[in-house]
Amino acid sequence: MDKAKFALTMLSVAIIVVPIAVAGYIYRGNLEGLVLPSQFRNMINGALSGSKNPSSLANLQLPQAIGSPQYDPTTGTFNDPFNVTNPLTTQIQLNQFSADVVSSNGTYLGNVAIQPLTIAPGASAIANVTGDLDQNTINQLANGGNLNVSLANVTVNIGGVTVHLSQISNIGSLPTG
Amino acid sequence: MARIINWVALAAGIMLLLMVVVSIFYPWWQLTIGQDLIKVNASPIYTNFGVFGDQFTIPIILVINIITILTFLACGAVMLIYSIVPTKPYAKQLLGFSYRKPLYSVVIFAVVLVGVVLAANHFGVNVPLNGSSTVTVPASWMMGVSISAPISASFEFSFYIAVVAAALCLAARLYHSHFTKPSTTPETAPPTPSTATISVPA
Repeated sequence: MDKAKFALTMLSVAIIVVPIAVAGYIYRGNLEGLVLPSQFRNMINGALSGSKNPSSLANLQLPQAIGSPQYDPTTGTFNDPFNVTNPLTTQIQLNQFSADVVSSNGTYLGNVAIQPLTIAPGASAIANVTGDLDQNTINQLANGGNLNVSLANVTVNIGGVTVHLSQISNIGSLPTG
Repeated sequence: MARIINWVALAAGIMLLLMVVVSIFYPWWQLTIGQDLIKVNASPIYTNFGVFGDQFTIPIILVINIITILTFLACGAVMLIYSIVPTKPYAKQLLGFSYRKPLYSVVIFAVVLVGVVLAANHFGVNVPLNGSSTVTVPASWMMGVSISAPISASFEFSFYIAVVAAALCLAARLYHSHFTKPSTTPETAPPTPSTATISVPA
């Protein structure tokens, strides 16, 4: 009976001590690695050169403009296609992007939006940014005025997560006539 | 003579081993933020995280998971051994070793999970224990940027297998008393030599 108790106690001790000892040995020179996994650090730092894992937040690239914006002065609508690449191992669903275009003093000029878009892992897709401009803005552009614009009420929904910004200031200037 | 078997313990041992195998592949509790943007797969057997499709584990949690796996495997094996020798003198030691740990694991897991969810709710992040809700991070926390995301959480079937296994372990402990109870059937007293003398009146 005592032998059984001793054997079970030793088994319990071994089950606890051996994994801890092995982990301590593996991470002996890098104890912070026990808490912060290398994959997570790589994901944040983008230090994935030669890694099997192609996914990294740092590998996310800004959308690349394809050509120049197409503007229809009669309707006041424009569209500007962008090439978007998904470097992740999961698909990206851009469900919504919408914003008001405002002047530097806050006057409403129009709006922009993107059609919902799904990009497969590692694939690229064309995101077509479309917008409507206010008639006053069209007139101002036709007269060769220069318009520094900001975005207001920016709403982005990616993968179900909605981000709302009240304003992004001075994103650039609209092409003038 | 038929072998005496604690059938409840036998079922508990098999269930424990089955629970370990199932729990390696299926978490006990799963939390999903957005459309699979962030995932938390939690169980004492295997806890991992998914961020934008990348799966990773935290090594120190993995060590705890390995200890739990080895413990459950040992408990399952010892419970099976106990089940076929429930009347041996060392049976109680075998049972004592194998029935408590799964029970404690399920209880501690549930308590920690409830604690984490309550703590998150206390700080204004509405994390459900089982169900769906929308988490909103106030704009004041994020320099004017407001973030909201659908969040869903659920106990998976592997958790219920663990609950059944733990309940069977407890039942095996209770059923053990059947093998230790003194027999209640009256035994026939062996004839004892009488020392009394019968005096016959003269």
